[in-house]
Amino acid sequence: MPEHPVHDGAVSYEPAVGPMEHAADYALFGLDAQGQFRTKSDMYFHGHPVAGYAPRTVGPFKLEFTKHMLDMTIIATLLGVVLVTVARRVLYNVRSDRAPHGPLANAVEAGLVFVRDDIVKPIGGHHLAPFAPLYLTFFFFILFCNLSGMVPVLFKGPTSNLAVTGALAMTVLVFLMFMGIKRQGLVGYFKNLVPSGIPWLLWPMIFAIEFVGSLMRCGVLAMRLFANMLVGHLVLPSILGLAVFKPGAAGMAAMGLVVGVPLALGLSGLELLICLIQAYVFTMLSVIFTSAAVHPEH
Amino acid sequence: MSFDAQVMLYTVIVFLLLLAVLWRFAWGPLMRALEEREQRIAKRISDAEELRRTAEDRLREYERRIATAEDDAAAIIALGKLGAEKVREETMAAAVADSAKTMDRVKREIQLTKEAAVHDLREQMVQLAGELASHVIMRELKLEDHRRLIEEAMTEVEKAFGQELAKPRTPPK
Repeated sequence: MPEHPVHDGAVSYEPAVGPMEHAADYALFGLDAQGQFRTKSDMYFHGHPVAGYAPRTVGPFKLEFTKHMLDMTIIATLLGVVLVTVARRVLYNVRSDRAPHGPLANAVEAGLVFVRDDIVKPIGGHHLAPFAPLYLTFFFFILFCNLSGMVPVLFKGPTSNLAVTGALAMTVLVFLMFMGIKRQGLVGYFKNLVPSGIPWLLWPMIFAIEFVGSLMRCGVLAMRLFANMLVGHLVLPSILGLAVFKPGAAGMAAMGLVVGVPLALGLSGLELLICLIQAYVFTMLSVIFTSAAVHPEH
Repeated sequence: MSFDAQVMLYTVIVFLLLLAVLWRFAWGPLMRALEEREQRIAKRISDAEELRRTAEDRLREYERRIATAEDDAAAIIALGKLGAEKVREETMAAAVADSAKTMDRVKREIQLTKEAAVHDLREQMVQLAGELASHVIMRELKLEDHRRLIEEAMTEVEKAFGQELAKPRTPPK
């Protein structure tokens, strides 16, 4: 198995784990090649796959349940419960003619109004306004996946996984093409990919460029979110590593504490901001791309 | 770093489930709530505006009524004053006219009384003169002489008393 470096579980122990390995996803439980149920302790030894373990695969899918999958399940469940509760309470308050109150309800309302009135309506217009819930869900789900990465032990931040962001971007791509085809027809959608007034000789080339471009835009959407989140996970441990590595050199450790901890604190603040900004950017760009597919004239 | 297809599929499933649940039970109700609140607030504002306008109209009407009432009151007072003045003047004029009439009557009565007194005096004088003459002269005179003598005496008496009687007297107040 070339993608799973095999280690001798009994003696092989390398304390220095690479930053990428640190940020990587890992399986919690799954089926091995023989079809036997394995838990994390069976699969890994000090962060490395144990000798002879290989997951069972069905096509490209490994039959493993990973940490990122667990995290996003927890986040989605919490989001669902909290938002549904808040929505019911707000609706009840409005129906019973009470003033809006509660910081949570106000925050959710502010987020809703922000995404709907400042992103979807100005950019998407009346064609996308009915689909504001889709973008709201993107925004809140990505925001809390991002933020969960800031919780040190409990969560690992699913959006630092390209598979997760890729799946989200693919959802955008499918919705975008669906909306474009629904609005302009199958032929119209692909014909309108090419701007009018192009000489017919150039048409196939431009069509290919535009088509690949529309796929690439969504790929970049996934890559942007993934890279931003991954960098956060890489930088913070690296800075904190100043304080915890080199246990032998007391002077270095002291300097690491003095320099590393305040720096990590500041970077954590920055990271919080980036979590919010990237959720916003993903939502806004997906609205822009969908809007471009719906209104070819722009 | 590996690209796990099952993570991707799982993400899509989780996201779509979350989307369905939130669309149906969170975003839908929340948007409805916001819209209802918006409408309610807009209605409140328009109601308040209407109420304000009604109140203003009513205030203006009351002010107008108060102004009218003040005018009416002033007119009534003026009318009352005018009436009182008229009554006073009429009373005054009546009193003056009355006193003038009374004065006339008194003057006339005085005149009549004076004339009667003069007449009486004259009669008595004629009689007295006659008696006096017959007593003093003791002689018969012819009727004409008699008459002439009396007339002469009469004229003299009138001359003497007439001025006295004709003197103007201040009428009694």
